[in-house]
Amino acid sequence: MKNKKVNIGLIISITITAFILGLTMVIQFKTVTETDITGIEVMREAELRTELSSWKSKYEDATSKISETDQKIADYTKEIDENKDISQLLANEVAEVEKIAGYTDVTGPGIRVVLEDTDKKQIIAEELMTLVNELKLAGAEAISINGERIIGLTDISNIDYKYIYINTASDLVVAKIDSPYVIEAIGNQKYLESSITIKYGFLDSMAGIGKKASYTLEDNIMIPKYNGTIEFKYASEIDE
Amino acid sequence: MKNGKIAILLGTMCFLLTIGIFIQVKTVSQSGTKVARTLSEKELRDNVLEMKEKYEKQYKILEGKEKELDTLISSVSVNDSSSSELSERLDELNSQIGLTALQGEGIIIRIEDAKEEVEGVSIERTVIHDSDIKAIVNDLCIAGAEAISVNGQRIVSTTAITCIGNVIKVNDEKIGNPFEIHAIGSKKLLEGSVLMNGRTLSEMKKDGIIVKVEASDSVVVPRFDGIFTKDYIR
Repeated sequence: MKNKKVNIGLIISITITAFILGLTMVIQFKTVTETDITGIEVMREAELRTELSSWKSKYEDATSKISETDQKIADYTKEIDENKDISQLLANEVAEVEKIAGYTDVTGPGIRVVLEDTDKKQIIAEELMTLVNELKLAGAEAISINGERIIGLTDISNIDYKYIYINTASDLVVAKIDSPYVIEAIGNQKYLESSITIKYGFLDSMAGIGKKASYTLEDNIMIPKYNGTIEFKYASEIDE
Repeated sequence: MKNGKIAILLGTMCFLLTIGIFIQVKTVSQSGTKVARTLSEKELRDNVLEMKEKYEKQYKILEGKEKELDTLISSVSVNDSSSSELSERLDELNSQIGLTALQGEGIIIRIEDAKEEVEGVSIERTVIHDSDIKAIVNDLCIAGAEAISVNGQRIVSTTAITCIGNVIKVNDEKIGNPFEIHAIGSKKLLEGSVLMNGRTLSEMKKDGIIVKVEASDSVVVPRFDGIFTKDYIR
């Protein structure tokens, strides 16, 4: 009789223990899944921080551009008030915009990336395109490949799987280029460098598929002008 | 003897319970940090929006000043041939780098993620990637496009097309599916180039992506609403 009572007590206590243990395990499982979510959140946080700093630097660019424009307005007003010729001011401005458009040689600090064909692996147009895109994202102000200036609507293509072509749309400046490919970009060296050396970034992915790529930071890069002209045959301005 | 056994059993149970409680405590403290993190993420998100708004306000001010400058210049250069020539050149250059809205003959490409799976195509290929957009833009450039925009974002010399997570960004602006690409140029050449066998669009079609290409005599490409910096070039 006494024996049975003990047994019932034992069964009850074991059941309770099993129940609690089961609960603990459920909690544990939940913890594990939550840890995964936390990982994603950390990633999202990093993205948000990058986004924040990118808008911040755009805001700063806008602010400095405003004071630049204010200065220009003051300069023009002064010349006009004194009845002077404004053509010198205009000429300066034309020269500045020509730099952006790619019509003049420019120099500055930046990065030089060299991609080379090897016996086994050939560099393809898409890789040059990816690299140029990364450099633009890092704020490159001027880019060239083998001395050919990259402008807004420059195309880079493998047409005959032997050479890579740049600017094929313009008969005047179409360039046939070959390994080694030397890509030069002017801009913030730190940003340009980290844009390609970042983990799983351009250099990592090139190394991953066994392609040859290297880079050096240069303090005085010269990027030649674009030799063609941008002419609108089909497009016309919309009056605002 | 029996009592001893029960004692051992109870002891084990206590031990297990302690472990259970320990794990629970850990879980609680972890979900605590999760709440904190979510909060800081929300804050960050607000900060991003705030900064973006701040930039947009600043940009509006800048646009106003640029218009003021423009009016000032054209008011003077009307009577002066050398400055009117320069001022025309300046307008032309600004147009070339993407600072004016353009209109003309061209094509409009509309693409949308696949609605249903195609047999033998991996799910990854049924959605549109940044590399697809880049390749289409390149195909348009080959055919001599004079101006291109993707979901209203003008492609200029500093434009990067990237993706963060599953969001595509052009000029740092997030854009989403479906995509509409406008290109001005010879509609025959542009259409021929993008639809050529083996090029991106025909490959995308095979993967079930919805592709529509429309030739038009009046395609509009908006201006670039960003800033070209000259902090490093001389």
